[in-house]
Amino acid sequence: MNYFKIANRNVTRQKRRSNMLAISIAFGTLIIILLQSLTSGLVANTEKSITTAMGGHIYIRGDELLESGKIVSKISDVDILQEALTSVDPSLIKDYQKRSEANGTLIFYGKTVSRSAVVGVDWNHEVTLYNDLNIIEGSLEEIADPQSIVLSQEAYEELEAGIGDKIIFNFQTVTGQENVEEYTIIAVAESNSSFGISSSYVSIVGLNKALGLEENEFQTLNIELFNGNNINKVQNTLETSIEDLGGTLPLPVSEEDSAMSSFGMMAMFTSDVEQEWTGTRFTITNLNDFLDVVLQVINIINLVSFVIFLIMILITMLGLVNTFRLIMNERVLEIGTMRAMGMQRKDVQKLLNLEGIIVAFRGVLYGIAAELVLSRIISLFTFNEIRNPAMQLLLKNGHISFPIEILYTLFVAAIVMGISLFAVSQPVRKALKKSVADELR
Amino acid sequence: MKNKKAIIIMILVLIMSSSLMAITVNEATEILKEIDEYSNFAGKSFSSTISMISEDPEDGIDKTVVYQFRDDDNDKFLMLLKEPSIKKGQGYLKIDDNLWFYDPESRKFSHTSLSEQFNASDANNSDFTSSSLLEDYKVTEVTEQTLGSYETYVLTLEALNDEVTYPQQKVWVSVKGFLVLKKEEYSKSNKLMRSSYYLKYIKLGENFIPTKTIFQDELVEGKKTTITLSDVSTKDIPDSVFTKSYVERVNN
Repeated sequence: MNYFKIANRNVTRQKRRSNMLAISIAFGTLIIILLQSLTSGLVANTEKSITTAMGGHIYIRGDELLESGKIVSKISDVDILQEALTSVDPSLIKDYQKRSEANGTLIFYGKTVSRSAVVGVDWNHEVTLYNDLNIIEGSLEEIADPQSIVLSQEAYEELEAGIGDKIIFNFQTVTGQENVEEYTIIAVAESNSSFGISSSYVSIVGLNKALGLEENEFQTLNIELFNGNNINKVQNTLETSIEDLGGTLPLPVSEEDSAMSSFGMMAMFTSDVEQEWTGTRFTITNLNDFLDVVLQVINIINLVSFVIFLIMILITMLGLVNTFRLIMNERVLEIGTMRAMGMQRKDVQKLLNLEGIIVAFRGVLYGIAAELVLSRIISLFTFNEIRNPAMQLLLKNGHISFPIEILYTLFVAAIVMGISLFAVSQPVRKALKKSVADELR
Repeated sequence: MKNKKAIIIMILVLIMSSSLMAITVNEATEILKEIDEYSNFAGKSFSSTISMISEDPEDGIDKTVVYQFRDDDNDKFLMLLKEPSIKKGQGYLKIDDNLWFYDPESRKFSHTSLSEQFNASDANNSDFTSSSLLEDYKVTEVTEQTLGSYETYVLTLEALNDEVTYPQQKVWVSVKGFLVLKKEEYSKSNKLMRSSYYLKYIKLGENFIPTKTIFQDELVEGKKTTITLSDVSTKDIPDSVFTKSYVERVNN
């Protein structure tokens, strides 16, 4: 007997009722898949933004203690770092970049942009950034020139400068001396402002000289991994190796401070307890330290969406139970006839359960279709006018993105159908407890 | 013939007068010592009320009033903002090598440095500390120049360490009294960053203190800060003033 054909015909027979049930299931499915897709997009975009802006997953910063007690940001113990890098399984590391950075004021004919970050990049080596920079004006042809600058869109607009114009950058050297450099704008990169600071890019060679660093020195080493899941493993290996090689790591942050640290970002700061050392002190942080803030928000959204999902499922379940109870009452005679014609109780049960599954399946399909349509519509809107750096961090080129989570969608579909089957089976079982005579009476 | 004689006499007078004025680099170094001595209040405290008028082509004119307390013997200073009301209670406290900024809104102290700008003006935090020219700079060149109606020595200074705010300076010092009348401060890349004009001085015992100074930003045209000192005093200031707890409670 073709149960599916009969069940499908029975469901289609009551079109309006079946569709209403399917729509209520679809709505619940839509909400949970849409929210999950939204949160996945937010995490992926934040990860991508930070990885691009910072140049990797793991960030090693160097500090040196001067005789005067002043701490300057630089890595001159390059050998220790190179040696430590060899201790990491090479198949885990995709690439690494050496960077220097100065924060100061960009000036162009009386217009100023304070708190501007100018990042020194080794353009011969750092291909990822070169490819990821979204150049909206000018070109990167002259990028190797130490006096060339790729200006952030934000700074470019504020300075009201043009391609080829010379701008002044006022900043402090690593030891705190005032310095001024003149740069020619060769290109403008779409703003990838992170943490409230918009970054512009220059050659590391020129910036190092201006910062008072030697040519082979740098301030941070950023490591890009093939797989973000190996962050902690690689970081632990590096820390152990640096210590073994006689390098210095910061004193651990006290438990009290750790407990007080909101959003788990304490790892980005070193302990305030006085520490004396010679050479470079290496501070290693990673993407997760930055992502913690986003993940906390994401977890809240996920929790809310899960609660909404549970409520929707509960409502749908109650709806299904009531609707199927009504259906069973309406179809007592039909059930009695089927059984009188020789159908076993379990066969009838199978048929009725299948009807429930078909309704649930339709609901899930409608929900997935609605999610795909709605998410595409939402992702068409641009939010470029929102200048909030934290917000821009969550977007992909100014758009909210909704990646398709196939496994999660299948999981939700299975859960919804399973719960629907459970909801349907109760009134069906009750209806089938009656004798055939009672059903035909 | 008469003309020839007159020219020779004039040349001789010029040579003699210039040789009278000319000083060596070593003598110029003594001038730095002199400046440090009359600028610093050894054995006594110093307090004043500072009025700062900052002119910025982008942000307009901004007035700030600050109470200044100095204990040069112990390398301490305290600057407490009185005006504008929105910044009232903010303070800069220097104890030894540490400079703290206090924000009454967050009730927190944060580290800052002497080379940072004071309250977004053209003055740096280091402009309010004791003078240490002799310790931080060496004289590389001395010339003479007339500045307005004053005869001055122009000392070209080069930093002795890489931790001072300006690696190079030119200082115009009056021949009489060795008062600093003008400064030009240069970046590491030798670009003129700021010109300072010391327009008025008052004498407090053995000390001379500029009561009107103009700091002119040479990178942003039209940007300058005028500083005027009033209520200057060398009365003793209790040690308790130079403490974090004093800064926290002074405006509560």
